Formats: sequence, structure tokens, C-alpha cells
Amino acid sequence: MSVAIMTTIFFIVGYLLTFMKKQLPYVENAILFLWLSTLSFHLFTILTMQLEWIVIKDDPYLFLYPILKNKLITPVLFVIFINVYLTVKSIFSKVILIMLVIVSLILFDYISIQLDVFYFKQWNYLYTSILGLLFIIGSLGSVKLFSFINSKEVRR
Amino acid sequence: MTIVYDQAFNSNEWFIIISLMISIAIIVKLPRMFHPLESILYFSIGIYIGTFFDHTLGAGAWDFYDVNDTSNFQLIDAVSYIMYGPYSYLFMYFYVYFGIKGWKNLFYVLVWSTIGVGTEWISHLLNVFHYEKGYEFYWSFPIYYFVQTLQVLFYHTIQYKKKASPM
Repeated sequence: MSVAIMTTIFFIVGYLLTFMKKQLPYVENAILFLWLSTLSFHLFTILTMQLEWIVIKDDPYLFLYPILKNKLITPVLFVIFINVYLTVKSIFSKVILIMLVIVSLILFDYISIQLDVFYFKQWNYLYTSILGLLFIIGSLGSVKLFSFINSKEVRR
Repeated sequence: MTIVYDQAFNSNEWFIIISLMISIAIIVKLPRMFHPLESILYFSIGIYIGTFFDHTLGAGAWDFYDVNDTSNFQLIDAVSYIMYGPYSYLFMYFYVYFGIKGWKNLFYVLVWSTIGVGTEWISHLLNVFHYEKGYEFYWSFPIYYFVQTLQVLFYHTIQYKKKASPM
């Protein structure tokens, strides 16, 4: 059930990313996805296996779940966010967009807990929000870095 | 339960650091081939793939191997994932340098998969990988072949997208 739900969500965000009008070129979107995905997976591994702040249910059938959630859906969500963020102009819209992403992350964690995939031991939704905010800052920083590299290339 | 293989700073750590330094030095010395962002992408994809397989084959339900000194995640594990970056960059670099096309793709990927398995075997001898459940280093060959084929397809997708909308 839980893997089926996550697979469906993955297809939905995948479709959204594929067919949306993107502000960033393909290479930049790909780099952003790879960075976020690697970081998200490392963090989840540290939180579950090393620190054990989040306890994941010991069920071999669920092994696909963290891959879908952390390695695919979460980074795709941020790539969608960045591409939408670059189109909106007003501060209000930008704040709403950031809040929407954080609410989505909280919702993913809530669904995971309701589906009995994992539970929080020393973790909570506030930490999820802070982590989400750090990912947003990281994503925006990456976009700045890309434009810096591009402008340096133009000057060459 | 955490398995501890050793606690000293020895062969596995040195192998990771030295091979990372040598491969980065090679990248720096080679003439420029790609746009910097494209170079970053080819470097990052190696790290991504390394992480992906180590967190799927090497953990969770399968858990076919452990990396470095313990079965837990350590800082040197993260460094060892960076080690995959130069390999994937050099794979793409020489792919373009030799102008690989058509049937040559098959042999090119075959050669690089052999290099991959060979490096993994050396890593295993130097205690970077600790295989479990009967896993052998040559099992990784089809994984390298699959991943490198995907990378070639990815490269062609990038070229196609670049023609459609240049960076």
C-alpha cells in the first residue's frame, strides 16, 4: 500500500516536472536533482541508521519506499519549486511557494507515519520544516552558482 | 547490530584519498572538453550512482556489502562516494575524445565496466568493500554495464536538449 502510494506520487511529480515550463536549462535541472537527491539520501541514512532519530519499520518490502521518497520525490519537488520560484515576481507569492513546499514535506512525513513506514523517535515536523528550508536555501544558492558559472563562461 | 571491521586509519582510507587525489589531478591536467556545468553534471552523476547503489544493494533489505570500517555510515563513506565522480567524468571525457559511435559503444562500455570491476576488486582487497551473503565483486559487472549505458543515453539526451535550447 505505502509503496503503491509513493509510486503514484512519484509519477505525479514526475509528470509535473516533465511537462511544466522550466526556467532552468536541462543541465542545471539535472545537476540540482542529483545534488539534492544525494544529499537527501545521505541525510535520511544518517537520521535513520546512524542517529536513529527516525525509526524505519523493518520490512523488506518497504525498501523501495525511502528510495522513492528521498531519492526521487523530494528532489523532484525541489526542482519543480525552483523552476516555479524563478517565474514568480512578488515576495508574497514566493513566501506562499516556500510554505507550500514545506507543507508538502510535512505531508510526506505525515503520510509515512500514518502508513506505518517509520516513526519519529527524536525527530519532529519542526525539524522537517527546518531541513526543508535549508534545502530551499541550498537550491537557491545552487541556482546563483549556476548563473555565476554561466556569466564567467560568457566573459571567456 | 553494527559490525566493526577495523578502527584504524589504514589501507581503505589511504586508497580512497590517494585515488581521489590522482583522479582529480588527471581531470585538472586534461584539456577542457565540456562547459563547466556539464563537467559538474558528469562528476555529480557518478556520486549519485555510487550513493544510489550503496544505499540499495549495500543497505536495507539486500545489504550485500558494507563500506569501509563499520556497517554504519561514516565520514570516509561520504568521501568514498566522491571517488565515483572522477570515474564518471573520465568515462564521458574519453567517450567524447574518442568520438565513440555505433558499435563502438558496446566495446567502450565493456572496457569501462571492466575497469570498474577491476577497481572494485582492488578496493575489496584494500578493505573498502566487505561483501556479505555470498556477493562477489564480479556481480557488479552488469550493474556497471547498465549504469554506464544509461550514462551514454544521458549524454546524448543532453546533446539533444542543448541543440534545442543552448545553455
